[in-house]
Amino acid sequence: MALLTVEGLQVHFGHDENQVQALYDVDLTIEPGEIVGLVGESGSGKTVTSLALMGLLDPRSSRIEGRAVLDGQPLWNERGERNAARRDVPLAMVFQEPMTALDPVFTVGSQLMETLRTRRGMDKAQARAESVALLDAVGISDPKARMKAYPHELSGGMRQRVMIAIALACDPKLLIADEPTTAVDVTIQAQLLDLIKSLARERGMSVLFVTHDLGVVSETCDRMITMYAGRIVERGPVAEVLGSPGHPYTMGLLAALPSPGSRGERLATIPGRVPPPGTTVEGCVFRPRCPFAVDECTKPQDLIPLSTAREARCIRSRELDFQGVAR
Amino acid sequence: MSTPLLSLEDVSVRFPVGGRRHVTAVDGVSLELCEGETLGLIGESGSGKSTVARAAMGLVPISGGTVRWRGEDVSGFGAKERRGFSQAVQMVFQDPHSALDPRRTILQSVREPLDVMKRGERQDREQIAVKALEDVGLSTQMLSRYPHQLSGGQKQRANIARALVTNPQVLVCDESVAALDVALQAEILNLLQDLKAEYELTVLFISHDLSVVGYVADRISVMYLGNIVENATTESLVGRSLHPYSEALLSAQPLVHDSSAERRIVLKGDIPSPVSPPPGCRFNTRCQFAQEGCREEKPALLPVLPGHSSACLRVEELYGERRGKGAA
Repeated sequence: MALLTVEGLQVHFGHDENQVQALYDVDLTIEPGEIVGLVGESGSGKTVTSLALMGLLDPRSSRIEGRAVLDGQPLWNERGERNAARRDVPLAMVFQEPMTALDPVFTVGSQLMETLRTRRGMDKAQARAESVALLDAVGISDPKARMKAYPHELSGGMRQRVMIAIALACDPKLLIADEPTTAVDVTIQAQLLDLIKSLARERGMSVLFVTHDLGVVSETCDRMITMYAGRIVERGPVAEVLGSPGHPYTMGLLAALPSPGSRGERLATIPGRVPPPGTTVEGCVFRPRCPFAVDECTKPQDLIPLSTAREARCIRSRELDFQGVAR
Repeated sequence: MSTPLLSLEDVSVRFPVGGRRHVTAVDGVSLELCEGETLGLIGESGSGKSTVARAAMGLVPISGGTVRWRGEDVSGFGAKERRGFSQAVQMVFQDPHSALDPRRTILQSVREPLDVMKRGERQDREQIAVKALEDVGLSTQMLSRYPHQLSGGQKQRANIARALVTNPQVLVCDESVAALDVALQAEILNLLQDLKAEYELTVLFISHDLSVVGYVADRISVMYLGNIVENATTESLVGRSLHPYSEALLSAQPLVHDSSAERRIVLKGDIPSPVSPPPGCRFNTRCQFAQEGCREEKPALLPVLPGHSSACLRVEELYGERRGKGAA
C-alpha cells in the first residue's frame, strides 16, 4: 500500500472575488522507501504542494480541497480543517535556508531536545542522549560539543545537517525536503545528497524532494513529477522521463541546461513566463509557451498514460519525439 | 600574446578581523584577462572569488601585489585615469533585487552611472540608457517601473543594462545567474553572449556552478582558500583536470545524463577558515591524496601542460605529467 495518497488536491488563496487558485487537481502517491522528485520553475506550485501537505498554509487565507492520507491517517477532514492529532502524523520537513529555519537565540541542542520532548514525550535526559545520537547519525563530528553550538557558529552544510536531524527527531515515514541543497556549494551538496539517500535507505523513509535542479533529481530520485502552473504535467521513473520526456515543458527545462559540451551554441529557452496564479488559459496551460501547440491544444487536457508508470498532460506526446538526454 | 587588458600580479587582500588579527582572503593571486576572452573563476564560497573581482575593480584595497590596466599600474592613476578605468570595467552582481535602488525607476537606475560621471547633457544620457535597455531586451514600458514591479529576469536585465551604459571593455559577472531559474538562466546566458559580441566585451565570469562556467568560459581558474590551484582552457580542465580539488569539484556537479554515484568524489568536511589556513598545501585537510610533504611545502602554481598549470606537489604521481614542463 502506498505511504502517501493525495487525490484532487486544490489550493485557493484569498477570499471571494480576490480568490486565486494555486493548485489544480494534484494527485500523487509515494510508496514506502521511495524518493520522489517534484520539479518545476518558481511559481509552478511545488512549494504550495509541500506546504499544504505539512499543514503550514494559513487556514485564514487559504482553502484546501481534496484528500490526503499518510500511513492510514487523513491529513485534513472533508472541510479542509487540519487533523487535530497532526502531531502524531509521521511527516517532517527540511527547508531551503537553514539559517532562517533555525532559531538564532537557542543552541542546536535545545532545538533538537524541544522537538523530542514535545513530539516523542521524552524526559530531559532521554532527549539529550537521543539528540546526540541524531547529530551523530547526520554525520556531525563531535556531536556532544556541537549540542552547545548556536546556529551562527556552524557552516551552511552543518546547519542543514542539524535541520535534517531535527526532522528525523519526529521519526518521520515521509520527509519533505524543499530545495535543501540550493543554498550550499556543490561539494557540500554532494555530501547532503548522499546523507539523505543513505538515511532513506537505512530507515526505510520516503522522501519528497522538491527542487528545480534536474541534475539533483537525476542523482537522487527514483521517480519524478514535473509541475507547471499548479498542475502536474508529467510523471514517471527518472531515467525514462529524462531519457525521453513526455511533455514539452520537461523537455524545455532539460534543453535550457548549460554544459561545457554545448559551448558556443545558443541555449534553448522557453519563451514567456509561468502564468501568475489566477490566470485562465483555455485548454493546455503550457500552450502559450509551447513550440508544438496545435488547434486541438485549446481543449482541456488530461494526464495521458504513456506506459505503466508514466503519464503526461500532452495530447501530442505519443506522436512527437521530445528530445531527452542520453544516459 | 599581446598585453593583457586587465591583470593581477601576486595580489593579496587582507581584512582585519579584530584583535590585530587578519584574514587573508586572497593570497598571492595572479590572473590575466586578455582582450575578447571570457575567463571563468570557480570555487566554493569562502574561496575568495568575489574578493578577487572586487580587488580587480578597486572596490577593496589590496594589501600586496599590482593590478594593471593595459599594462599600467592602477595605483598610480590620477583622478582622470581612475575615472576612465572605472568606466571601462563594470560589474553585474548576484542578487538582481538588492542591486537596484527600490526608490528609483529602472530608467533612473540605469542612467545613474552616466549622471555620476557627468557625461554630456541629460537628454543624451537618457538616450544612452534607453538604448542599453533596448539592447538587453526590456521594452520601453518598463522604463518608468520600479524594481518591485519587475520579475527576477527583468531585474537582472536592468542590472546588465546599467553595467553597459558606460560602454565598458570588461564586464565582471559575479554569480550573475545564480539566483535565476533554469529557463531564465538560459535566457540571461544567451543575452550575455550576444552582448559580448555586440559590445566587444571581455568577461570575467565568477560562479560556483561548473556547468555554467564551462558553458561560457574560454579559460577557467579554480580557486581554493584564497589561492588559484589550477588554470587551464575549458576543454583541458573539463577533459582532464590536474588538481585533486578541481577533480572533486567537477565530480560533485550533479548531471542529468549521468547519475552514477561511483564517479563522485565526495570531499569530507567544509572549507577551512581562512583566518587560520592549514599549513602547506591549503587543500591537504580534505585531499584524498595528501601526504606528509603536502603539509609542509606550499605548492606553487606551475605550468604542467601548455596553457595548463596546477598547484599540486603530486601532479607527476597522480596524473603522470611533470610540473614546470610545459610552456607558460
